[in-house]
Amino acid sequence: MSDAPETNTPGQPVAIDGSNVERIQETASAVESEERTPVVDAVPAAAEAAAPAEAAESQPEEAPPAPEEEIGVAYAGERASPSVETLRTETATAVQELEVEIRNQTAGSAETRNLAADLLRLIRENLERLRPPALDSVVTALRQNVFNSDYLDPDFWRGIAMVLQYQVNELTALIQRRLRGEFAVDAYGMDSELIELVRPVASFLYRSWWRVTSEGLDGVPAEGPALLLANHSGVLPWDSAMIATAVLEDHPSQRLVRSLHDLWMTSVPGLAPALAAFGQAPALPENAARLLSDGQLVCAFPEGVQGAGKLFWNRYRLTGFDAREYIRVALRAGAPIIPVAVIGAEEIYPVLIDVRPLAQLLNLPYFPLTPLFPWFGLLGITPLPSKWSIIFDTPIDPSAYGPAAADDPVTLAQINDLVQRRIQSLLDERTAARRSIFFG
Amino acid sequence: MTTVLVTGVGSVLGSFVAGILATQPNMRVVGVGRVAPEQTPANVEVRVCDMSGEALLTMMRSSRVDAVVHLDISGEEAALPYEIPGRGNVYRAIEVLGACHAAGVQRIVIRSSTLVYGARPDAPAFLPETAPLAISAPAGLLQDYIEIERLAADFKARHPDIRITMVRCAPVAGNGVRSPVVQFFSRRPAPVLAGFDPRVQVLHIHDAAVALALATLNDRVDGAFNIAAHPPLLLSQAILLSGGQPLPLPALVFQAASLLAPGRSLVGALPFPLEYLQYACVGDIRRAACELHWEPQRRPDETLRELAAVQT
Repeated sequence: MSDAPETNTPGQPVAIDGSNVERIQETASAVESEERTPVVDAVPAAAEAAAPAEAAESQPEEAPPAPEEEIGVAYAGERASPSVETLRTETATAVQELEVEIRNQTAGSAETRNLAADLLRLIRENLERLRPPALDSVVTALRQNVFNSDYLDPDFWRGIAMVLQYQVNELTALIQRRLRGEFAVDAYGMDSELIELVRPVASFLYRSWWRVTSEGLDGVPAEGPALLLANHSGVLPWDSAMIATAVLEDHPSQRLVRSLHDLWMTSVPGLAPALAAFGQAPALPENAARLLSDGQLVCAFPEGVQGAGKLFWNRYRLTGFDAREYIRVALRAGAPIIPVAVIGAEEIYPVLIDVRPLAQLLNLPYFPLTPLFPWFGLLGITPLPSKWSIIFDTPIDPSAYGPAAADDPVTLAQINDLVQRRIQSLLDERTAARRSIFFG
Repeated sequence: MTTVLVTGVGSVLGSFVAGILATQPNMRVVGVGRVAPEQTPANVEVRVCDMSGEALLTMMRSSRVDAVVHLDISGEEAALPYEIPGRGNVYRAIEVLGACHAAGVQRIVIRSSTLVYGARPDAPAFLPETAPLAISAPAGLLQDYIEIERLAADFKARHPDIRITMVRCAPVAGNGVRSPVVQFFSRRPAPVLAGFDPRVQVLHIHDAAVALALATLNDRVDGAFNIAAHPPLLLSQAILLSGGQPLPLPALVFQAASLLAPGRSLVGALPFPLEYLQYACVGDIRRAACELHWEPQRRPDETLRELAAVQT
């Protein structure tokens, strides 16, 4: 391994202890992290600082962030200090004893005991694989927190294994059932089981990632048809996911919003069935009419593709807002029309350039270049954690317009204009009042 | 006394429809087909003939037929295997329509398919009967249905006094009958398009027979009706429930297969064009519920499970 210096980038000290591969791997993970903390003398501090901040990103524990130059030095020069080595051995022995004890027990099911023991073996093996400086922080943390409490109690581990076992059984049963075709979708292909599975993720995005505050939810009817008309932004339909989560989490009825998605997504492999499973339907007035006649809460984005792909400097300016066909079906169904303003979604993917030729080549409506996409590949799809607010405006009562309004193009245009003005003024007002994109 | 002529009485669906109609009071049912049914339903006069226009006309005149139910579509059931296009389904439909006109029949019901709309990305989730039909399909059963639909529309334009109803049935299954699409569902492996899982409809043969009988007995309705079980299933679900195994393949494989071995495709011939694996073609059945008072009695998953149980 050490006779392959061409894998090192110039300017970096070449390690001579034969651990090049690990070093390069750790360097790679260190480059991604923005934290620059000296390694040797501040390891516990770095570990402590890293733990809460990176909780969301599930940073691997074994690789605390470290700058590239210093890590080379640390490796070339440093050997694990004897005290740390002893601690490692002690800890490993304790864990092994616990493992053996659990294996030899007779209480509980053998399945659970084996799972608990396997879990402990995994911890021990990882411990033995660790190298400084990760070893230092892990062993210190273990000594400080773990061995003073009842973490060495076999019952604790059996309990954890029981929960895990239950989860595994549930999940395998679910997968087996689905592989036999035993699941139910509604007439549009909505899969309630899958929605329940991803609901914690949506809830996390809603509460913690974008810290959405929603207003005016009491105007949304608890039952019966209603049409939400919202501004569209953010390249991917995160805005519709968050509108749905807002109603699901914060509205007493917990009803599911059936969003209408841009037609082009129907032709994207993988995306089309996923959207259908989450209760969305292609944006066609016929689909809106059908959903409203079924008494559903429908959300449409009248800007369509023009809204979702708009450039960063055009953000919060409604473009091509035409909801007349949707207003028509809402009037026919007697459904209240609720303008919705979404603030924050324009900043999750700041679109700098829209590469039209590439989009045409890929048969997409736009090909955005953002600060992260496509340079960081799939990571570039990570939306930025801007602070969002979703405002549900007071509903427009369809009965105020009379029965003939649905067939009157002038009235439809007037209502369209009203909705557009209401959303635009909400957007202007809130973006002006906002001090920071990320903190609100 | 009303006399109804049911063509294709040799098929399971044909004998069911004839049997249901024969239970009605003041009803005389004449069943005609190229083969005799395995079990002749009670009170049905079965006649076997070559289904030529001349033979049909003679029969219609001598029996004073008031209504015709045309179910002689080959390729849907094992009893009536698919034959070469040209002298097959479309030709027979022309003969039947011509004979009906010559014999002064005022009421015609023709079996069609819900797949005639074509699978398109911009189609609504539930297609009404007024939706435009697909322009064409590769030669086969689906293309026959599209041509019969066109013939019937043309016939109707020329003879507005004759009431002609197209009963567009979803792929039929049950009682040993497996339409080609349902046979595809129970294939192991059934090639599907990776990344797509459109909704599909099926129909139990009993529900299909009831719908056809109701359409015949109703003396007001006109036009077309979508007939299918509700709710639609996902394609993958339909395959799994029928005892098949979906095999997701990228579009490129299908294209390469049809290039390398046209007709005898490497992935196995599909009963419909490739788009049907990508986009849904689901008929809205509300008109049938409203005007025919027809409601599907069997759930689609029950129908397919029943089929899979018979298979094993």
